[in-house]
Formats: sequence, C-alpha cells, structure tokens
Amino acid sequence: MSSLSYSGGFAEPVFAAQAAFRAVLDAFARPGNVISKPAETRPPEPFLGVTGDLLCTLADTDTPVFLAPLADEDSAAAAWLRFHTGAEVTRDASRAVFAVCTSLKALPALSQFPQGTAEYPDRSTTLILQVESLEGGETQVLLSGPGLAQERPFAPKGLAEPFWHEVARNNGQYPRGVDFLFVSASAIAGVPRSTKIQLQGA
Amino acid sequence: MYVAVKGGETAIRNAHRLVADKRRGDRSVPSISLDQIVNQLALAVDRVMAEGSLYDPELAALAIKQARGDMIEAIFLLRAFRTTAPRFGFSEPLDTSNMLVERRISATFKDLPGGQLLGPTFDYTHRLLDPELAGDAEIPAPELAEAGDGVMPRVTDLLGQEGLIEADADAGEEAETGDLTREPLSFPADRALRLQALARGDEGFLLSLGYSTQRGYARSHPFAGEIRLGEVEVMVEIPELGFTVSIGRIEVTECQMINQFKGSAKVPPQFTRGYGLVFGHAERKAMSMALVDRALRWRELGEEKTAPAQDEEFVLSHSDNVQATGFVEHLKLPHYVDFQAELELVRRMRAKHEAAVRDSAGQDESKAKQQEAAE
Amino acid sequence: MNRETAMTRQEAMAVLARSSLEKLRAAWDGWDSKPATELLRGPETGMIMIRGRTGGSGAPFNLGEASVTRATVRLGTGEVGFSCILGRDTEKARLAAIFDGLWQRDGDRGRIEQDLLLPLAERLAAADRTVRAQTAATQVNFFTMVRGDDE
Repeated sequence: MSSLSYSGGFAEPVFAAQAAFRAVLDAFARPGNVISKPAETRPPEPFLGVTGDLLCTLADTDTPVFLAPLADEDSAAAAWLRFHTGAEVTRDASRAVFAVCTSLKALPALSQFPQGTAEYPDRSTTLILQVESLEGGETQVLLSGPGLAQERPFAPKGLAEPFWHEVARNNGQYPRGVDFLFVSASAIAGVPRSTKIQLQGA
Repeated sequence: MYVAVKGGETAIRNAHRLVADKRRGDRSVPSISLDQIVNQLALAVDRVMAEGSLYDPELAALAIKQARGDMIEAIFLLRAFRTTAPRFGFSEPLDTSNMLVERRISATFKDLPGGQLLGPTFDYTHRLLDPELAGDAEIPAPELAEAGDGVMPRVTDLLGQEGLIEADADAGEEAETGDLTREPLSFPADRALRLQALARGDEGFLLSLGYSTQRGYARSHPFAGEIRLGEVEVMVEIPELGFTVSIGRIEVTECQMINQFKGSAKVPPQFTRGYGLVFGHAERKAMSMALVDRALRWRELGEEKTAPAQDEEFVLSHSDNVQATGFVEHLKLPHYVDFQAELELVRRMRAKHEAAVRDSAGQDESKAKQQEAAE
Repeated sequence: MNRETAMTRQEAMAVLARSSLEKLRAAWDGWDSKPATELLRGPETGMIMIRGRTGGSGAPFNLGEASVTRATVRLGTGEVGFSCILGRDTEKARLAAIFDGLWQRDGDRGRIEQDLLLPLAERLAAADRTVRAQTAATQVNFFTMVRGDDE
C-alpha cells in the first residue's frame, strides 16, 4: 500500500465532518439547491476532494462502498477509503450502502442497488455522483416536492435525458429507492427519492 | 394527543445535586477510587462489562461508582457510552483452546488431560461471613506449584473423538455473522444471534430460565462438561497491513454444557451441547447461558417446544436488562394526559353503570308493583 | 550494528500492545536522535467487536465490544508505524506506533528488540508463568479410598 493512501484525510476530523454533514443535510432538505462546500480532504484519483469529504463523514466499517467504474481492492482509491473510513470497497452493487460514480457510463442500472424495503426504507444506497459542474448543463429538469416551495430548475453538467428518466422512475417508487448527491469540485446538491422530476419539454 | 409540559427545571437540578451528595456520602470517609473498584470489586466490574457489552474495566468501574453500585444503572451507563464510540472492525474469533487458564474444571471426567484446576473459586468455601475482612488484614501470597505443559484439550473434543457428541456446526467462512446491534432482531433468529443476545443478557433472568430447565420445563439433562476461565489473545486483522496482530488479552469464562439426548427423527442418540461464553469471570452467567442456549435449540434437534426457556421470542425479547428497565421505569414519567383520558372514561363508564343499575332497579320496582296490582 | 531479527513484526506489535505506558515513555524519552513524527491518523479511541465461536470451534458469533485505541505515525525517515491496542490510552497508542515505525528500520530494529521488546516480553512471560504456577497449586489430586470391604 502506497504511503499516499495514508495522507489527505481530515485535518480536524470532528469539525470537518460536522461541516460536511451539515452540507449534506442542507442538500437533501432543499433539493437541487447548490451548496458551496470547500474540499478539505485530498483523496487520490478519481475522487474529487468533496467526494473524499463526504466519504470521510458518512462511510465507516458498516457501510460497503461501490465504485463505478469498478475498482480493485488494492487500487489507490480503495486503499485511501479503507484507511480513512474503514469502509470496504465492494464490487457487488447489491451490497452498497454508498456508491461513488466518477463516470456515468460505468454506473449500473439504479435497480441493481438496494432500494430499501417497505419496513426499512432506509436500507437503500446513497449515490454520490461526481460532475464537472452543478450548473450550466444541457439537460435541465424541474424539481418539485418536499423542501421546494416552487419548482426549481436543476441542470448539472453531463447528465442527459436517459439518466433523468431513470431518476424519475426511481423517485416514483417512493418511499423506496436510492438517493442522489451530486458533487463538483467545490459544491454539492441533493436529490432525494421524495423529489418529483420533470424533464423540460417533456 | 401529547401536550408538552414545561417546568420542574429547578427541582431536577437540585435532585441531581442531591444524588451527587448522597453518592459521595459522609465526607470523612475516603472517596472510593476506580482502581479499588477494578481490583476489589472485580466480579461486579466483569458483570457490568458483560451486560454492558463493552470490555473496558476502568469505564465499568466508573459506571459502578456513578450508579452508586446499582448494577443495572451501571450497565445502562456503559451501554450509553458504547453507542457514542465508533467501531473500527471485528476481531478474529477468540481461540479459547489457547487460553492462559486460571481455572478449569469438568464435572464429567475426573482425570482429564491438564487436570482439574480449581483456580480462584468460591466453591468449597463455607459461606460464613468473615469478620476479618472488615479490616485490612494481611493476605498471604498464593501458593505456587510446578505447572504442567499447559496442554488442556476441551472435554468436548475428547468426546468428539468417539463420535458420541455432536460436532460444532460450521456456518462456512463466507456466511455473514448477524449483529443485533446493527439490525433489529427478527424471529426465528439463528444461533449466532441468540448467543450474542444471551452473552449480553441479564444474569438473573438467564439464571432463572436455566434453573427452570433443570426443574423440568424443557428438561435437557445437563452436565457441566467443562468450565474454563482465563485470558485469551484478541487478534485483529489490520486491513492496511494485510496481516493479523494481537491487540492484547481479555479475560473470558467459557462453559461447555453436555446434554443427554435420546435422539429424534432428525438426529441419532448422542450427547448434544449448550454453549456459554462471557466477558470476565462470570461462571454462573456462562452456565446459565449454556443451559438456555441448549433449550433454544429444540427446533434444530427435533424436540417438542413446551417451556418458556425454549421460546426464543420470549427469551430474547426479555433478556436485555437495559430494554427491560427502560420500559418498566418509563412508567415513572408523567402520564398525566393519558391518565386524565382514562379518568374521564372511567367516570363515564361509572355513570352509565350507575344509570343502568338505577334503571333495572326501577324496572324491578314497577314489575313488582304490576304484580301486586294483578294479585 | 546489524543484529539478526529476533522477532517478527507481528510479535513486536503484540509486545508493544501489552506493555505499559510508563515503559514506552521511558524508552522514547531515552531515545537519542529521535526522528520527526507526523500523525497520519489518530490516536483515536473506538471499539472492536469481539467474536467467539459457537461451541468453541464452530461458526463465529458476536460476543461484545472492547475499547480499542489506534494510531498511525509517519517517521521523518518515511516509515509508517501502526498500533492498535486494547484500552483507551491514546499516548500509549501513539508511542507504540512510533516504535513500530522504528522497528522497521534495519539500523534500529536490533536496539529496539534488545533494549525494549525482549525485556518486556520476558516480563510478560514471567507474569504468565506466575499465573500458571498459582493455578497449578489448585490442581486436584484425586486418590481412591477403598470402602465397604466385603471380602
């Protein structure tokens, strides 16, 4: 294991994790709202710093993490994750408590992830999707539902219509389904399963 | 409907101050130190660690001191602390055959390899109060004797060689080990989950249930095959290093109960087993756990379920004293609104009842009058 | 000085885990030419879930947790030292990680083993021997008495 994997964690774990947790709460409470989040961690490729922050805040030994594209156990990303969070990197999407997607092409169908059960809807995956930017994308969706007084436009870069159709299908099974955190180099936004997705022009 | 009620802050603050004063007691008596508790009330510390489900003698001693010696309160305190601590991972399963043995006895074989070692036991004492202990009399150092080679095979392994006792069921290395601290218990629970629940269960509750099996409620003809007490190494795999290291030792008590078994449609006649493993020196608890573990195996062994000790939902749902005390003691909390509603209801029912009594009395009277008139 | 290694790294870590804070602190205080140390993680206290085996050798089950403290330290010379020890002593965990790092240096290993680890291991072994001897003194020696002589 390279010595790189040991560095780049939170310098002040308690305060940094609290700040990141607050950002996640705000992101899910106000879907589609772009929340500025400076990166504290310095994880290896392909993770962004903010992704590292979220993982160091949310992941632990009880939460297998799925990486898309798949990563080997001895990859730098897996080693970094294991050292700083204790989380195991799984190649089995059906065991994922968190999934980090750094390339949309590599993302399995959302239905492959745990969707929660009627008794325990919380037993589903939270997806962390890295995007180039949370604004200015070609495809814009309108979000509505809990946490939104009126419809809010949302257009992260690099997410095309087929993806949003899948998200809409996922959110249609509320209270079951996965939740989404979109991450850029300096901000996050959330789309929980309770949000209604409307494609522009559809 | 819930109605929030405020008030009582000063009363609560003063009550806490008062309990702190009572805890300390007479200031002319020296305050008890955690070292004193760890060393001289060691079995109380062990019980708090076992049922608090956290091996940490200093914290258990602190909990006992803070709880003024109330064991269930101390267990509650340790459990509460436990929930705030992050979990780094799992140990390799303890290897109890490789134990620094401090006590090891068998009630089934007199001459077993390694011998019968009584160790620090209350057994064979006269159970007469010793007035000398009221003071601080000099205690002589223990006797020493030449130790053997330290090889102490398990009694169950000796019987296993003849095939007369069931083998330990292996779940396969890949099987997930259930954890009731992560997923709520659901029934039927597998044996690993049952053992976890029993290991942290209330000693008194398990003792009574174990006793009930001996008195004929799910009779299972037990023999104490082996009881051993001592220190075992805790091995943990460090993922960053890719190998397993020893992180220190803990003391545990293990009980192998051997039970006579006539056989069933599923299983040939042989000895079956109940298992107990508990943090610290906790022989009564380990034995009780083994008895109850065996009773709970009725389904697997094709026995009839006739007694409370066999009912896993009953046993596992009520064995945890933190849960039990929480639910019993919550009755102390204000139920003013609930009770007002009940009071209203009872008043209404009472009024109705009285009206009904009056009515029927009136009817009787008028009937009697009618009868009189007819005559 | 390049003495032969007397212990494996696992053995060295096991001894460090069971030594007292005082011993480690004295060894570190007396260590000349201390390398710079950088804490990469911890020292932090948490828990390890301890497992047993059903019946002693069967399927694993979760017995209960134990307090554990761990630390990861990088020495100025590049070695990364680890510790993971029972209890909540963060200073002991930090020092144990430093000595694990030092042990990995060919130039220091012999000295650490001779001056610190082997004497500690011997003290621990002596304590175990005492427990064994005390326990052996409580061994039951059965003898048979012949009763009810009917011959």
